[in-house]
Amino acid sequence: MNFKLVMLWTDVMIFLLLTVAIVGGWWIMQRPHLLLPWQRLFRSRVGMVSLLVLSVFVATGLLDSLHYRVALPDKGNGQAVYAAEVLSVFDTLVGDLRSQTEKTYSAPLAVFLYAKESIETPEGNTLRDYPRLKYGGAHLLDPEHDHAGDVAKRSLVGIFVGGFCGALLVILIVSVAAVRSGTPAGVWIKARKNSPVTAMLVTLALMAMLIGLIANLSGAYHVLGTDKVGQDVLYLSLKSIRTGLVIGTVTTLVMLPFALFLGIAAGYFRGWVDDVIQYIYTVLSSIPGVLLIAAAVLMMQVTIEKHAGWFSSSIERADLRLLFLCLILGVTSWTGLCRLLRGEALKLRELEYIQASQAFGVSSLRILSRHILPNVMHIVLISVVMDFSALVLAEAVLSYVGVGVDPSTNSFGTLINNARLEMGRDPIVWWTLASAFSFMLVLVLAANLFADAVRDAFDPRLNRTGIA
Amino acid sequence: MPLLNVKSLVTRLQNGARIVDDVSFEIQPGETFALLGESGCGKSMTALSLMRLLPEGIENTHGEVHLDKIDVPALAEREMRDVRGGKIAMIFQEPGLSLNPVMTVGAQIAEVLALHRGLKNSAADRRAVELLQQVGIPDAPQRLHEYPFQLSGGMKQRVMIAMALAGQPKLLIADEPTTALDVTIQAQVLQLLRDTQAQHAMAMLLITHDLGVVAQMAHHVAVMYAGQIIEQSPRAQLFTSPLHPYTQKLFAALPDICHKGQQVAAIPGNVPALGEVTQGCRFAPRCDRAWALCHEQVPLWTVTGEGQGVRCHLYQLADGKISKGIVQAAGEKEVSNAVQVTSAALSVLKVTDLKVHFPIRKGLLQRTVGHVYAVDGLSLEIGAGRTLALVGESGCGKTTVGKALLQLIPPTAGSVRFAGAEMTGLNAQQLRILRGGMQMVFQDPYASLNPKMRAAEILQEGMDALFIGSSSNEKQQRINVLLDQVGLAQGAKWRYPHEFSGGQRQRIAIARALAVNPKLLICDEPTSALDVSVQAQILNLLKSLQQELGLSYLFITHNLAVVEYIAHEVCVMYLGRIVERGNVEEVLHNTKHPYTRALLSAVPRIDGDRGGIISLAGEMPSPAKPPQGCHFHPRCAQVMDVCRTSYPPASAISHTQLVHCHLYRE
Repeated sequence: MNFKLVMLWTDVMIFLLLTVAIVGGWWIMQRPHLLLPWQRLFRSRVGMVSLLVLSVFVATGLLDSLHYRVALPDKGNGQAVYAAEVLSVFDTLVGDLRSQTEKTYSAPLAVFLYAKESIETPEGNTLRDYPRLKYGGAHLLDPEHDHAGDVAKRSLVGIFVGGFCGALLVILIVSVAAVRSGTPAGVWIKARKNSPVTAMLVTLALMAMLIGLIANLSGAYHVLGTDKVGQDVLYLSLKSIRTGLVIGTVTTLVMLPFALFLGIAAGYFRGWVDDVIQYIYTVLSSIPGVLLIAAAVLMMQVTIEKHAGWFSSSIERADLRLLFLCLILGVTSWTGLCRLLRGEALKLRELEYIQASQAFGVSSLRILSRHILPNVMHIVLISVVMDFSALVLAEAVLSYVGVGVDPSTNSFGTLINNARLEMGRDPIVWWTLASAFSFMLVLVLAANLFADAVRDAFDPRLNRTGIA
Repeated sequence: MPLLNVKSLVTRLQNGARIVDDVSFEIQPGETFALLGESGCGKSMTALSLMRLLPEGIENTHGEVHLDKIDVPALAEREMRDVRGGKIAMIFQEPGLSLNPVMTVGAQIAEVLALHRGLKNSAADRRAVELLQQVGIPDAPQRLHEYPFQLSGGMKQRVMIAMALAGQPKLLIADEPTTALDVTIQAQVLQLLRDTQAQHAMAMLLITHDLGVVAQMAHHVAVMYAGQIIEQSPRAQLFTSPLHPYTQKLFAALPDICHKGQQVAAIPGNVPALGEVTQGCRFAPRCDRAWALCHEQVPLWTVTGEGQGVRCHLYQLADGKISKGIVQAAGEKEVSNAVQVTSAALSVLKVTDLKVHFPIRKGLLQRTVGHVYAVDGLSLEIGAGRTLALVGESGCGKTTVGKALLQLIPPTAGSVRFAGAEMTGLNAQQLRILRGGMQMVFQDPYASLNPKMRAAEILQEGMDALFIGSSSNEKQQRINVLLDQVGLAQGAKWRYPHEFSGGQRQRIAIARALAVNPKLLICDEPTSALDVSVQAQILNLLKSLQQELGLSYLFITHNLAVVEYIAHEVCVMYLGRIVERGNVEEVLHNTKHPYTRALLSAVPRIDGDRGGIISLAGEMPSPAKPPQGCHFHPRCAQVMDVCRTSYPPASAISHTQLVHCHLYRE
């Protein structure tokens, strides 16, 4: 065994969530009435395409959540020694992208550095010019002349190979589906002309092309340039995805128990229980959120620094800080959902099936769990999906303010924070901000579109009787 | 020359299912044409098709509509706006939802006046006041500046009618105009509709499911079933000799005193879902006179007389062969009353002086500033195997009585003795022991079953809570028996509520209550949300269960026809108190209290007899401020001085009949 698995706290949370999602999915599959809204969701074209885009992000995040430490070469004393650096499967997959750092800023696809430096020529003179990059376009002999052609050639090859792989995948999916349904592939695809399946296959092919393009180019260039210390911005952006996902999902996990239990308890019991819960969330939501989070994060920061011995590596320390940020965000953000659920429970408690159970003397806890909880789940699902994008954005804001994740953690917030000064430079360094912006935009847009589709599919108030 | 001429109108869903299928009719000027049918048969969609106001996803694909020589489907949307309100006006079922809550009554009427009559400012105000006076709203100039929430339900419907009249339409479409109103208010509104129609020589398309309303209002009737008009004839003919088997059964399914002790002729099954029956006659699956042809071929429209036609194979044979008087006495089963009479002495439930007062809290400190006297000193007694009907209009506190008996709402005072044991003032644990004896069947079958639980789970809940049946095997056995008792197949066990129709859901709700072996069922308007044909099924079920299991019922209802059919004794409630009680024959046929009499006379009867409606002025006062003296005196026609000062004590008319009225004091 030449590596050791490292389970960070957020990894545990992520895989716990994944398990819950899989078990929940299996559970729902057994129940036709629960399956119904999901089937409606699967018929939505926008929803399914955005889900596909989201799943690429999620896959990246999951790969980035499998951490391990590589074993160092055996020194002969029989004891396995592992490297201090914690890597993820994702780091291994992207290979040199992580390690190929330049000296400082370089523009996307550049061959030269972004700043002039004194270069010693072989003749011994000192020349002030843009030096060549160590890795970006290092294979070019005559960069001035070959650069554009090489980029174009690599792009075309990338698109072609990616497109080819995508097409293969599409053909494979279609033929497997066609064989399983027992119809010729042409008929199968024609029958689904207006269904999301076609749109998803097209998206799949397009995404394969994009991935091929980027993969091929990044082998020889820094596709999105490098930052101040010469790190590849594409790599940083991809690493930021995991942080965004963790914030968006683990926070929900923290928030749900509060919102669910307190919300339906307040609505069902009314009276003093309702008063107490209402006061708590009214007070909590009257405190400026950022202030509360800042105070909590700063306190936690001091604690962590005092007890440096708790952590065996810096990544573990950064990870704990990320987890605490999720906890704090969760504790401060349950009020909205809680209020919604209280309102719904207030309505449900007056319904006759609840009164029928009361007439049987069914205990309150059982009424809450058997009657009220299943009937508010659609609201929970809708708001969880909608909150996701808000949380991803909140992380960016908090990190920018400086109370977010650890500075050593890659996140959209830290990227933007670093880009703050770069925007004031002349010539301007625009690519860090631009890539953080576009990655976040795609992620949040996909999440929002998916949330919209989920709302449409689950909202009982949307009248869909008749329009079958 | 008919005012409205509709020819083979077809309205369908996007998936092709026909909601309105080949509907043709004519309305003459000044005539009331009624579309009669059960819910989901396409009545409202027909009206919306005429107005071109169909909801999204439903479209009018075929048919001619001529209004006063105007080709309605050919109009541009802009021209259509003049027709809506100006030529055709519409009033809807729920007056509370059809007025804008943030606009004054006057502003809403003025909107119509400005659009269709070109009246503005003071001219519009004057006209609005006239209109409000016309629809019988007192203090019209003041009411003009009031908001809808300041008006009662009946008043709102009057305002709606005034708004409809504002555009001086030639045709008024009234979509279930009185369904949401109480009988006494319904009588007022129907009278108003008749008067205004006569004054303005306006034609009216009346959409209703209530045969009584049709009998009072219509000149011409079309009966709709599953999207088609199956029979059309002048009112008198329809009521004396209905042709279509469905119409005949509809009449037979009405519970009435003449059916006492017999089963009402229920129509088996349910109205088919849209697009379900594609072949043959749509009623064939439920028709006991159907033969092979009915299942294969759609019957054609057969004209049987002047303005009379039917869509049935029975009449299609040959012209001369139209058989008359085929109304058959369906399934008359004599019910022996013997068992019930002997057991009448044994009292199951005895309620004395029950009071439920809700405090009204106001201000920062939530101080109690008054009480809503929802139930105010109610006493009643139900014998084993007997049915007591509690009758009253909405807001009189009858539902609160039911809930207070079950201790779902803690009573303020009084005693509830069930099978000899006092139920008030017990804690949850002690109460649970008694819970099994008394159960409730609710009004709305759609709200009374948890949509996320399967039928078996719903039935099992009560057994689990009250520890009935030890093993799960035993419970399953019991569930099978229960489903059998309420007439559902055992396959229903693992299905979810949304897969059942309204009637089937109500059967599950009854089975749920029966699961814990109750002696007394409190039925809170169990049939008011159901169609007439299904209502009969449920009433029959309740009756047969009573005989089988010796159940007692407290039957809470506003429907006097049901009372006549099912009850042994009746209590009439007004504003939290019982005003008259007695055996069903005594109360309904030897009526003493003026309120009971008004209530009875307000019920539209299907023989169309409008003689002697005692119209009640105004509406029920708020239970927070009951009037001094007799609660009923502000609305009573026979009011005396003493009524204004003191509440009348009980006067015995016979040893069973009691009445609280000063008229009968000795």
